[in-house]
Amino acid sequence: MGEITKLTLVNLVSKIKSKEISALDACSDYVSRIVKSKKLNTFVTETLEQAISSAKKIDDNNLKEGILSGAPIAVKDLFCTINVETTASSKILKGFVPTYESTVTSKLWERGAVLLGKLNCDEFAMGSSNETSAFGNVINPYKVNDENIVPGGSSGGCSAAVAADLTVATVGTDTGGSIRQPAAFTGIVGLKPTYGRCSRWGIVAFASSLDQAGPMTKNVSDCALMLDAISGFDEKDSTSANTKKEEFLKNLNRNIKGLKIGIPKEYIVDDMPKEIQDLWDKGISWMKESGAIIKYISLPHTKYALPTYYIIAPAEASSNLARYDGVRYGFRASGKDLNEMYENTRSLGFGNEVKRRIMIGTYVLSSGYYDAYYLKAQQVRRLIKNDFDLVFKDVDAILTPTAPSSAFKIGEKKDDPISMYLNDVFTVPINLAGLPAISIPAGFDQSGLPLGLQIIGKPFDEQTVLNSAYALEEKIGFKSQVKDWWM
Amino acid sequence: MADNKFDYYLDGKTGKWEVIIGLEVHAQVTSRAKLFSGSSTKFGSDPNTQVSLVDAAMPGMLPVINKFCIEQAVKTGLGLKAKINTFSKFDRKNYFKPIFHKDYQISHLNFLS
Amino acid sequence: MLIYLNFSSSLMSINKETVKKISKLSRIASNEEFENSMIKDLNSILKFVEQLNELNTSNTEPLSSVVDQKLYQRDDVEKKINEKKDILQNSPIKNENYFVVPKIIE
Repeated sequence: MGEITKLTLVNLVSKIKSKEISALDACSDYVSRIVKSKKLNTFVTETLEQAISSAKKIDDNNLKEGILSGAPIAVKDLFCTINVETTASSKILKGFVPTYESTVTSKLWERGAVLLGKLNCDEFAMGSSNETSAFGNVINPYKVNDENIVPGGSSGGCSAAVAADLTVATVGTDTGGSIRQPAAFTGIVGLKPTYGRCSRWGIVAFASSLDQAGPMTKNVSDCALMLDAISGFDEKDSTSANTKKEEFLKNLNRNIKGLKIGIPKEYIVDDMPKEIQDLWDKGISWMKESGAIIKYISLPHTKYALPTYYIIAPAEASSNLARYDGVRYGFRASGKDLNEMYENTRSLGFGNEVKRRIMIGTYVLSSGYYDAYYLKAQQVRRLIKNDFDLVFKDVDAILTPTAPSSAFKIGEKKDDPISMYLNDVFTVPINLAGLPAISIPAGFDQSGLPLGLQIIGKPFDEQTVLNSAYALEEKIGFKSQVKDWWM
Repeated sequence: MADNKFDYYLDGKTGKWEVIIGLEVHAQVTSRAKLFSGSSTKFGSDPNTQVSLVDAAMPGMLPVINKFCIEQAVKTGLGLKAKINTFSKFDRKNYFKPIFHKDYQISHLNFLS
Repeated sequence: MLIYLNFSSSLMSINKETVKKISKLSRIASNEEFENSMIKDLNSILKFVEQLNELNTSNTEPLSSVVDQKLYQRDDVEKKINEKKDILQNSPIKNENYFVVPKIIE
């Protein structure tokens, strides 16, 4: 044991297809690692027995044609999975067992992947550290001086599980950085596709105009393969893009000679650690070495992205989360009449961060404040998108750090919502503009924690994003430093 | 309404009051399926048998509009000699009411000119 | 412009009454402790978003969605994606065909 779980997704699937490894052996190795890794608290629900029997079925019936054939995969607990409890890491959905499967996850199973379980996340994906989960925080497989570190968020169970080899790859969701920031914090690859690239049907909604599902993987090739598997038009999601099906893995190459890479000056922020600036500079040199042309650009409205986001996302959330009222599913508290039952259910069922965002969202949408806050934020969102539209006339992609710091200690930012929000300063603008962006592991800070670089692309140009990341990945030569201290 | 002036006034304590009456008419579109889901619109069926996962606001469900209903709305508009907008956008009207599973109504707030 | 002046002056003015009103609108039961923590948090978040007023957006069209394709429309055909039991099975309290809720009308 141990060797199989070190394999990348692309390698594992090819070995399963060539019968060098059986689907059952692959699954069993992951299962035994998961069983020994409870300390990390990555799983909310495990489906290990089911996984074993699905893997057997793949071997017995020789079902090896799918592009993910036999790949053992756990997914963020925001994806509704048929007959498997789906909670969004919230008490209010405790016990909810969907009778349907999200489009993205059904694509995984159709292509031969096997469900290992559901991964912990911030409650309703609202958080940047996985500390808002009703099921406790996830622990980063990287440690500093014996102190526990956050895995990032909201897809913190996903990032920790990939980094700790508890799933060969996973899918997360990204509303303001929830795939990319945890990927950076755990030394893995995370891609937020263009808004509309992947169907949102069957994903518990947070902020509908920003939410997008995407892959989190060990490397860039795996990321391309996962995007091949989960993307595509879905007539059940009117916002999914009716574009032609692409082949990201097949078209993956490192030739970025002549590609114009933009470096936005507004991403140099106060208090950014020197090691992140240094890493960014290294990224620029690696790009140059690969033949790319560096252009210094300006995205003047960058500093307004976070305040814009913290109006728009809570506004949409307050509306999306209105349905959790204790009538049709999940948790219900008692009350003498319907309203009191609603109020008690929501007060006891939601955690503090979720309540905070519902309250803010309700306030900015309420009569008398709508124009001043919500409409204003939508206008600034236009300005932010215009910034990107303009620079993309001159450059093909943009290179930035993924986050302004490395992963922090558990509890460090818990009492100050604003300092927590600031962690998303480099990722939020991309969601507001609906663009694709990847985070790739690019080095370590002084304490040995991983750091990530972000590459942002034009709408529906994931191929350029992946190719640039692929070129950079080779130059970086990142090696995971995860020691199995918890086992 | 300038060329079409009504002059029906009532005497009130403070002067004359002009009477203007507006009607909000709710009419059911004769579609086979519902506006935002594929559930049947058949009348008289058993309770909860024509409720889809979308109608019940199950987590992650999304509405998809019925083309026929848009056509009927446009035809009605034309029949009433109303102006037809060539661009429309959906908004939500949020309020908790037992009849709304999502606790919002899909509506239009802008582009009402 | 008046509305934005109004906006500025309303900042930092989330008081207990406002928190009570918003929690009512949000259907979240409120108590002293909740109100105090919300007054602090909401004011700090609203102060943070105040920076948006540095920008003149009087000629800017609001952006509510980045999707620029024509809305997909389905044909008018019945499509049953679930049975009645799928709707009712997760309800915390139900009888055979109905969701059970506390009384609505006095």
